[in-house]
Amino acid sequence: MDGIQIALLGAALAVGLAGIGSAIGVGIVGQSAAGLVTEDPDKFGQTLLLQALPGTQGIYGLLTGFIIMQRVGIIGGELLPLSVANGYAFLMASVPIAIVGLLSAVYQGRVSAAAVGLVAKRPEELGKGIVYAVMVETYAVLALLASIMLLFGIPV
Amino acid sequence: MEVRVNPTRMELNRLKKRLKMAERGHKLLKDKRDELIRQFLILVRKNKELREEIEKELSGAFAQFLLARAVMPSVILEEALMYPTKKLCLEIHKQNIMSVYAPKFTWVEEESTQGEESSIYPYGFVETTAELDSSIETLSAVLSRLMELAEVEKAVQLLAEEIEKTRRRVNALEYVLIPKLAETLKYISMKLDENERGALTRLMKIKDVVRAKM
Amino acid sequence: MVISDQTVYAYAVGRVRALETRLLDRGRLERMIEAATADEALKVLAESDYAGAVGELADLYDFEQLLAAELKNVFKTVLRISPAPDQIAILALRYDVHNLKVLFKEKYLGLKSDLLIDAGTLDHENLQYAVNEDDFRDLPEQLRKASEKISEEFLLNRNPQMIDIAFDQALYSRLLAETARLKSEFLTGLFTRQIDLINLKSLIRVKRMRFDRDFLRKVLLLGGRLTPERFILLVDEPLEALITSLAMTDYADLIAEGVRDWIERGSAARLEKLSDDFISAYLKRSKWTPFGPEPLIGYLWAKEMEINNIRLILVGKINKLPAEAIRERLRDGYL
Repeated sequence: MDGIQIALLGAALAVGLAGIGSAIGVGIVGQSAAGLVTEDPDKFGQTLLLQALPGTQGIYGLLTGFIIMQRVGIIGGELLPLSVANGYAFLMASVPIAIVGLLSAVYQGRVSAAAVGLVAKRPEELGKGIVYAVMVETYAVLALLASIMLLFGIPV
Repeated sequence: MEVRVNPTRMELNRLKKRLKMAERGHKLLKDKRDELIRQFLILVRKNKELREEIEKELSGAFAQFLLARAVMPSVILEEALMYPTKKLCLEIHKQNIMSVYAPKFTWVEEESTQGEESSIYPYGFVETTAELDSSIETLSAVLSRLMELAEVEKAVQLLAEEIEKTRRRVNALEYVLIPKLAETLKYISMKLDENERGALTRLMKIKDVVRAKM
Repeated sequence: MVISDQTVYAYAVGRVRALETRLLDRGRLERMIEAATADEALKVLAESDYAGAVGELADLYDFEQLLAAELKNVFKTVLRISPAPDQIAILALRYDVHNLKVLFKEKYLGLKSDLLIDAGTLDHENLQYAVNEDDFRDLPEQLRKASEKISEEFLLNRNPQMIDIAFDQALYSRLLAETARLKSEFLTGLFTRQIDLINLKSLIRVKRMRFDRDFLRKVLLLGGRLTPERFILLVDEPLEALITSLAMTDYADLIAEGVRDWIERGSAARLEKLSDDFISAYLKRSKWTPFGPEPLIGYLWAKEMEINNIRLILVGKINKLPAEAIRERLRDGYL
C-alpha cells in the first residue's frame, strides 16, 4: 500500500465518523422536536436551533478531511509522493476529530433532545438549554484543534 | 227540620229504642276513639324517635358514600356493588291494633354466599376506597331498624285513618243522628199529645151536643 | 454500541413534554374548588384543554362520560406514540380486569349493564364470548387461571367478593410477570410499591371489618417489597403497632401521618391521598429521563390523577361538599 491511500483513509474516517455522529445527534433531536411540535407548532424555530447544534461535528470532520486532501495535493495541485510512514501520520492526525466527533455529536444530540423538553415547559429558558448542549461542543472543538495542529505538523 | 214519620205510639217506641242505641253507640265509639288516639300517640312517639335516629345514621352513611363516590370512577363503584352478598326475605303478617290491621314484618337475611366467610362487603380491596366500607357497614346495620320504621309508619298511617273515620262517626252520631232522633221523638210526642187533646176536645164537644139535645 | 436503544423514545418523550404542559395545575383546580356552583367549576375547566369536551357536554351530570372518554384518548395517544406499546399496554390491563369482573357478575346475575371501560386492551366482544362460553383460551395466562377458578367455584359459594379478589390477585401477578419479561426495573418498582400500599390499606380495612388473619391472607397481594407475613403478623395488634413496625421502610412517613389520621378521625382519606402522592413522587423521580418509557408512564399516571381530581371536585360541587373535604382528598400534581 502507498502512503496516499492511508492518508485518504484518514480523511474518509474524519468525514465519515464525525458525519455519522452528527446524523445520529441531529436525528435524535429532530425526533424529539417533532414530538413537541406535533402538540405545539409554535416551538418550531426554537427547536430547530437545538437540532442544528449536533450538526457541527460533521462540519469539523469535513474541514479536517479537506485539510488532509489539500495537504496531500488532491485539491489544487499534483499528488505528493507520500511515504507509508507519512500516510500513517495523516491517518493518526484524523483520529481525534473522527472519534470525538462521533461520540460528542451523539451525546450533544441527547442533551439537545433533553433541552427540547426544557423548551416545552419553559420556552424562555432556551438559552440555558443551548449552553448545556454547547458544553459538549467544547470537546469537539478541542479535538478539531488537535487534529488540525497535528495535520499541519506533518512534514511532507 | 222536616220530619216525615207517622206520629204513632208504635213509631214513638221504635224511635225511642233507636235513640237509646245511638247514644250507646256514641259512647262506645267515643271510647274507641280515645283509645285509638292513645295508641296513636304511643306509636307516633316511637316513630319519631326511630326516624330521627335512622335519619341521622343514614345521612352519615350517605355522606360517606358520597365521599367514596367522589374518589372512585362511577363504573368501578357500580361494579363493586353490583352483586349483593345478602338477600332479604320479607314476610308480612297482620297485627290487630284496635281492629286496625297493620302490617307486621318479619324478615330473614339470606346469605347469598354459601362459603365459610360471608361478609356484607361484596367487593375486593384493590380498586375500592376504604371510605366505602364504613358507609356499607352503617347502611347494613341500619337496615333492620329501617324495616321497623316502615312497619311503625304504616301502622301510624292506618291508625290515623281509623281515628278520622271514628271521629266522623262520633260526630255524625252526636251532631246529626241523636239530635234528629230527639227532635222526631219530641215531634211525635207533641203530635200525640195534640191528637189526644183534639180527641178530648171532640169528646167534650160531643158531650155538650148530646147534653143540649137531651 | 454507544447509542442506547432508548433514543427511540425521543419523539414520544418530546411529545409528552408538550402534553405535560397542558395538565391542569394546582391553581386551576383551586379555582374550580372555589367556584360557587358546579356549573361555574365546569366553566373553569372549559378554559383548559378540556374546552372541546366540555362544550359537547349536554348535561352537567354526564361528566363521567367526559372523563371516561378523556381516559380512553390518553391511553390511545400514548400507546400510539410509544415505540414499545407493550410497556404502556400493561398499564391498561386493570381496565380489562375490571371488564372481566363486570362480565362475570353480569353472567351470574343474568343481567346486562353498561359498566365496561373502553380504555382496556382486550376487545369487549372477545371478553364477552370468553365469559359466556367458559372459553378462556385467549386470555392472558394469569387472567385465564383466575377465570377458570371463578367459573368452577362461584356456583358453589356464590361469593361475589371472590370474583374481585381473584381478579385483583391475577392482575398484579400478571403485571409483575410482564415487567419481569420486559425487564423493566422502573415498572417493577411501580407495581411492587402499589402492591405494598394496597396491602397496607387492606390490612387496616380487614382489621376494621374484624375479619381474621385467614381472610387477610386471601386478600393480600403477593410480590410486593414487604412480604405478606409482615402484614399478617399485625392483624391482632393495635393499629399503632403498624406505625412502629413499618417505621424502617420507605413508607414510614406516609404511614405515620395517614394511619394516625385514620385512627383519630376514622377516615381513610388522608392515607389514600398520601398513597397516591407516594406513587406520584416515585414516578416523578424518573420524570426527566430524556429517553425511555418513564415520562410516558408518568404522564399517564398524572392524567389519571387529574381525571380523579376533576371527578372529586365536580362530585363535591354538585353535592355541595365543603371545600375543605374536597381539598384534603385532592391528589398532588405530577407537575
